[in-house]
Amino acid sequence: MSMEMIVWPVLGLLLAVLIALILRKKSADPEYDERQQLLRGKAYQHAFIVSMFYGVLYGVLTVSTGLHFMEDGAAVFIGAFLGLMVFAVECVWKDAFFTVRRTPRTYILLYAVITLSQIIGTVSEIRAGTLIENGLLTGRCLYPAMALTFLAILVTILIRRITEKEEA
Amino acid sequence: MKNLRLKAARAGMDLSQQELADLVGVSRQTISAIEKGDYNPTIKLCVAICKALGKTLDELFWEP
Repeated sequence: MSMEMIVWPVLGLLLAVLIALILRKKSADPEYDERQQLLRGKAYQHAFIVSMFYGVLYGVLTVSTGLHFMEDGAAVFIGAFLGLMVFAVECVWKDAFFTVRRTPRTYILLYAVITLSQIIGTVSEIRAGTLIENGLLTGRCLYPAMALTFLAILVTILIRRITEKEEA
Repeated sequence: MKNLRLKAARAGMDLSQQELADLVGVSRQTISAIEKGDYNPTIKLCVAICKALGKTLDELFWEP
């Protein structure tokens, strides 16, 4: 593994964190009301439990069967996005994802763009034959993992908007 | 348990759930959940709602 493979991703991550901190300071503090905070806490718990269960299941399967069907990087990505999906979908469904002041319209467009870009990435990886190498799911499964996660969030937001209109 | 007194008080002031939520500083869904009985608000939120509607805690939240 060359230094470049480590340095650039780390720099990119640091830059993303820096931008997020700057944007967070500039915008109004995200404000969740007490009901939303309670529900978000529960969603974190559920996401944690699902991620842990996935990790244990993966570990047990690989150790007991000796079969490896994905690279370590792929396993980590899938576990992370699984937890994220559980948290986000539960929060969206229970109206605890968006703050009191934010409206979902911008996020619907943003998530649709992300989903589409990740689907395009997935298709190109499949065509290049790099998604599965030597019978193992590679770390490039980041594309389909992100696509599925954001698609699930997007669909949940849209369904919730429809059900809310019916309730109103 | 549904809070029909809250709903009636809100309707009496001709406020929508969203308008009451804006006055109190919570989401519309939280007001809806309180009215449906799906969420028990903290005392702080109860007081804020009472102030917004010009009612007392007894009138809106305490069991008779």
